[in-house]
Amino acid sequence: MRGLVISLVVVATMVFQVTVVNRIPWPGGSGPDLVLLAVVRLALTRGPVPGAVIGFVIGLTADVLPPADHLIGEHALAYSLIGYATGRAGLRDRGAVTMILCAAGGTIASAAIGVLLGDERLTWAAIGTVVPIAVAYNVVAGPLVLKLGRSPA
Amino acid sequence: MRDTRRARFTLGILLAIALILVTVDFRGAESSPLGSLRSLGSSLFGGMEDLTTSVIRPVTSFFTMFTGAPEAQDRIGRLEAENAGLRRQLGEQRLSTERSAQLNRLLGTARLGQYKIVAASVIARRGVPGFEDSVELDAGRADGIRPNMTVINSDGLVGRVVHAGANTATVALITDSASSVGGRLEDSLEVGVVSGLGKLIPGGLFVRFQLLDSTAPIAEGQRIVSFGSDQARPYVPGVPIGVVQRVQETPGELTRIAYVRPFARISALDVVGVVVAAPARDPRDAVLPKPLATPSPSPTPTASPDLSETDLSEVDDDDRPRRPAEPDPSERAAPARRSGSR
Repeated sequence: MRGLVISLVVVATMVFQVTVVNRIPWPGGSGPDLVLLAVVRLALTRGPVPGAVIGFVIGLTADVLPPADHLIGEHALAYSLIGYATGRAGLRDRGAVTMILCAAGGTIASAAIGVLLGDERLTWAAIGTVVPIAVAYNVVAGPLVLKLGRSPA
Repeated sequence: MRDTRRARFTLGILLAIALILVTVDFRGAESSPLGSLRSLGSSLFGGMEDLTTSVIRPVTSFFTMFTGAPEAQDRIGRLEAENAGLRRQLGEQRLSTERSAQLNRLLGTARLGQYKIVAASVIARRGVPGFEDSVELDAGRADGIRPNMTVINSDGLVGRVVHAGANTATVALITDSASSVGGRLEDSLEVGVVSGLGKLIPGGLFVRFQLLDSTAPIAEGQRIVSFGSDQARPYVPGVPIGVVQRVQETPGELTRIAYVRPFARISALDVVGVVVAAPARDPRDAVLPKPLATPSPSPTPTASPDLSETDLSEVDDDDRPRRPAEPDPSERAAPARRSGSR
């Protein structure tokens, strides 16, 4: 039952991300990535194995969620790695600091994986200008998601 | 210890599956076996996105108006006038009037260029601007939309359709750095390539225009229309793209680069049109806005003739053949050339 509620919340978050968050012209050019933060939040209290599985499932859904113009599996790969790493970190400490570090690391990691998979839009130069802004937004939004997620998750 | 090994094993399996998916999708390209997965996703989530957008459209447009303002400082005057006008029309009524006006202008543009269009609304947007830049429309195969069709709005070129679902379609915007569009300067007919930047530069959203002939004159304030692809797919000819804002000197290189501000406000898209049938004849510059009504924020019209003239005289000094399509006809060019020969 709780699983069902969580999956509904996750799907709602993903739709909210593409219909609302991404359409707001954020100062600096890029906004917070709520889907990434949801992966980090869920993996944080559940350990590495569930973290990796949750990351994979959410990532695969993000790959087929329109509008998508990249290879299927790109997000699945990135998010399962992020879920695993966050789960490991969560074994030691489940506080806001871990959340922030994992959110920042995850933003950088998913961009880097895009480059490594040869996504032609992503270049190291572009990452240098856009990723720091995205990291900043995710770091700010991270603790908020942690607070919101405390009751159902 | 055992737990860690199990965790690594699970992670390894998941990563392997993800890599297999990436490989299969990459090798398959258009006829990817994962296409059915993608269309399932688009029919499943497309409806949800459509519903969400229709519920929260007022909120989104409020935020768009709110946060768009600091970016467009040079448009503040116009925005203030617009705001005053908007304030007069109250409540929910306001939004529908605005959208119908956008639609009217779009239809006007389409008639001007003899494009046959299907109107659609943007319901979702993906991605960090500059990287993957794509939007989802609320019209799809059922409305006659197919991949590789041109998407325009009332101001100019928006992008092209990359996937068409049953009732939704995905559009890659011209600011996507993987997109490249053939463009043509309005008066000199010089050809170049318009592509996304892949990074943000100060002063708003720009695209790059690469002029193929490095000796051809190009100046700030010149406007660019689409050149048109073979069979008018993915881009139909004659759609306004943008205004040259800054020319970058690239001495010794084969091409020249200019930064172009798109006519269409890519960061605030709403009503767009998908061109389902190309015009029988290339409309040339007919669709470009009248010079007075140009939305470009005063690119100092006095400076532009000077720039193009210096380039012209350089061409004169060298013994190169004159270009057949001389850009600036008579009235501006004549006095400068006389002074050069003196």
